[in-house]
Amino acid sequence: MSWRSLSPLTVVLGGLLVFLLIEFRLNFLERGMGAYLDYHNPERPRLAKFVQQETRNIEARQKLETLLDQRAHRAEPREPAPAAVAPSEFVELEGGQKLVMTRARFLDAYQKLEQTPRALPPSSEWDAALRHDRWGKTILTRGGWFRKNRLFFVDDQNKVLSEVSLSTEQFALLRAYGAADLSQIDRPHIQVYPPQTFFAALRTLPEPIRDQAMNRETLSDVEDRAIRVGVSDASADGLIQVIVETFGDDQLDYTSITLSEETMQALLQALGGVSR
Amino acid sequence: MTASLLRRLFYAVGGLLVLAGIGLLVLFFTIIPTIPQLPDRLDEIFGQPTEVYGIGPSGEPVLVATFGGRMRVPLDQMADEFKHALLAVEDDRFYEHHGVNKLATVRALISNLRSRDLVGQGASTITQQLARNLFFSFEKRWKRKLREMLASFQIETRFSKDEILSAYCNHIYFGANAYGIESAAQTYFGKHASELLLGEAALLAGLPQAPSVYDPYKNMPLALERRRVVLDRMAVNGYITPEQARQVADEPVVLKGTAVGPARGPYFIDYVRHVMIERYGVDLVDYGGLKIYTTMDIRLQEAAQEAVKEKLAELDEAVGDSVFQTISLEQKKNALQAALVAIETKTGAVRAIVGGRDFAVSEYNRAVQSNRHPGSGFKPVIYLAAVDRLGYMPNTVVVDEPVSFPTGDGEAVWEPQNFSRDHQGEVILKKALMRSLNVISAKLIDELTPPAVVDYARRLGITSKLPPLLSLALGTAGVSPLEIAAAYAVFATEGIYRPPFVIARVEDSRGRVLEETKGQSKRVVSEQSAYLVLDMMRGAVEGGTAFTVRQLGFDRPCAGKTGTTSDSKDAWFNGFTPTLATSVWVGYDDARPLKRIKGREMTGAAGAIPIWVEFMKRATEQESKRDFPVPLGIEFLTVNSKTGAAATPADTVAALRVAVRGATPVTQ
Repeated sequence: MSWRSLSPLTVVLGGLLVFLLIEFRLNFLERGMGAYLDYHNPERPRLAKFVQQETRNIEARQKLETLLDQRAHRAEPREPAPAAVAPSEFVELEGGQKLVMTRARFLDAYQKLEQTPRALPPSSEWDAALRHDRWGKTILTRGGWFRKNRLFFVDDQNKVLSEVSLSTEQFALLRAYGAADLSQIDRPHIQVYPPQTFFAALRTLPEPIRDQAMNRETLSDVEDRAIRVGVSDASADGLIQVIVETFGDDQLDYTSITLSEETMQALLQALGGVSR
Repeated sequence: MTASLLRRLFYAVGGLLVLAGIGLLVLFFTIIPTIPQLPDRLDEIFGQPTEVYGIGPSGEPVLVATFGGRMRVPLDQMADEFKHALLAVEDDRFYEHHGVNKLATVRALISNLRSRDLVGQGASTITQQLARNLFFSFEKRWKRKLREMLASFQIETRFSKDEILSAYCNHIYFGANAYGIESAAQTYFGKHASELLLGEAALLAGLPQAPSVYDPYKNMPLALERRRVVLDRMAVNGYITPEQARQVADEPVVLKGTAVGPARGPYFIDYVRHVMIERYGVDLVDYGGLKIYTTMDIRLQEAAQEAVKEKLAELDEAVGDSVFQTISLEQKKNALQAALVAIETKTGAVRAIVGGRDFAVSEYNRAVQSNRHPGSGFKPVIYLAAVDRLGYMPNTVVVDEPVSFPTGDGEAVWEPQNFSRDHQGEVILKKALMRSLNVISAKLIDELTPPAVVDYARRLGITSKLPPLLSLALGTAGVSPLEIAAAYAVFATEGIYRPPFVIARVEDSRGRVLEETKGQSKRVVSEQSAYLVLDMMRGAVEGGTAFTVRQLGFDRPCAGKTGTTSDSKDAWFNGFTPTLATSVWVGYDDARPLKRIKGREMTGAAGAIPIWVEFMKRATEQESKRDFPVPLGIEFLTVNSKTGAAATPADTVAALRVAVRGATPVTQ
């Protein structure tokens, strides 16, 4: 039987079958339609929801970049670490009749007290008390007509380990130093001199230079009340800062003077020649 | 005759085929313009989600939620078990077809013709489902199906098989508000898509067909049946052995999360979202691809959720309410509620928030949005003002007696009553707070003046509206648990107020920092004043209205104050240890009284303390016990609780140890 004897219907059906088999195997119809659709993809409209979504994405990105840019250029410094608010180391009770200080705060105040010769404590009595290693805090009680000012070195349960008496000035100075977190004078790069040393050196300077350093009015005003004098290192522009710490009415006060390079040299020479 | 007939038939069939071809071509070209343009990349359609992190057990960030977008993971970060399960159940010829499974389609068509429903049964491939999800509605119309089919052809031409599978897995809906496999894995099992085990993967792979029907939270038996089908299909396709399928099908399913919202701290996350939107706007939050590192401690958050859930169930029983799990949604909306906020005292970081008993029932966040009267929970503010401004001390003697105050409204007077309706006469201040005497609070506020008390409340960070009235003494101005917890933290931190915060850091997807919070702090009262009130609140726990704390076995150093409003509409307990300040509120949303079955009113001690104790026990179990630091200038006396004088041996019952301002040197 030749192929000519096959009816056209058989041929067509056979062809259709072959077509379908190849299509099932190769998916060329889907591929063709897919390719056609993909070729014409740009011509079709985008879904509104995608357009909206893309707009929102872009806006979000732009806003983010703006915020990051603002943060990068913000003048203010980075937010500080959580402020570690230290517990108080000095407390006044009963309207200032009683002072309580931690060991660290007291030693700090005592160190300053040592630099003020006129309030210097009697060393033997104090040294023994300070050497005691179990005291955790101090209690200072203000005296009255018949009672002396007392300084108690106590443990955490307020048990007295040793005690010394205090002069009125010592009490007042310890109160002032204990209450102040950081005085202007107790900073790095400031050399502390006893007032007598500083003012003696000042007086050795020729009068015009001395007057230039500190006018007479200021000098007479602060000299009597001065308890410590701080002299800073020279700054980059050659200036030096002199801070005179004065004490009156139970208050610390500070007078600050800036000296020129010339005066500074003369004063430093004079200070160098006077024993501290 | 036969040849003629065949010829006619040939022409008829041929003509029909030609007509059908022309028809199909017309249809094809008619429908093409209605098919939307395809994007260049399938995965980027929905933008990058914002990721929200909590703090894990070792301090590591743990993803707890996402906002907006779709959480995308590449194919290689999906467990193979999941991919196999999905392919087996949804489209086992995925890698062979070009968008349409013709055999399956013909089968479905025949079935539909038989049932005279042209669009009834579907045979959608993964590509078709993706096309439907991305571009078309779920409407069952033949035109939509045709468009979906054509779009599938183009998707198959434009993208690789892996790109299509990846897009499908990342976009498909798995129920419980989880889009994409990563989100689903997190929502149902609290793990990454890469960590899914066979049983979990099979359960998830069965969900996309009908997420609400197979939702394991709502219908576990159906979900398990569906999982069995998935496992069988996996075995048929050779991914697993039939033995494995049987074995895993019998394993129980352990779900990690909740039905709606993030598994961990839905109310916490919701509040974070609220704060973020307020700061940055919704677009940046949902589509900015940010990373938000929250202050949520996952261990504490879970402990808080558990404590609220367990103890509310007990309270339901005590007040005669039905078991929560068994009641209808409408009934659940009226059920007893609770809120809890826990704040780390040394930083102000909020570690846990529970804003209600079920986020799926009510998204109203009672921990931060509510404004309920704190009752006696407000008294520590008044006592603080009295100590700080008037110099009162815990051993100061006050008189508990009938009092009346003019209200400024003609003849009307206000006569505050104690909860017990009786009076104690002379009593020291600490005892007054321990017993929560309303008369003493009213007298104190009268002496201080209401504006002065409001000033102290503001110092403690309470920002809610506080009318400057004498009735503030009884806590008659609404506050949120978040405010009150932050206020109480001041007592634990020696007078330092630290504003509560929930967001520690925000970064963009490239790690650039958008904001970073390390907490702020401000001294608002002296350490001594804060400690004196702390000592009085400690008395409330050791032998006052909050003694339940000790009865329930919480033995760490702590202090706190109960609060119960009139008719027991609100039951509070606000308490703190040196490290954690926690506020708990219990009540009904509609302010119904909290009454036991026998009709007795329920106090803060009975309502809120059990939750507080349960949470605090778990929250502090890993901490060493340490006491509150005693500031300088505080000493302790044992005094007669009526006279305030130093206690004598005869005062055994009336003796009370109190903290006072002082430093008396004791000579050995």
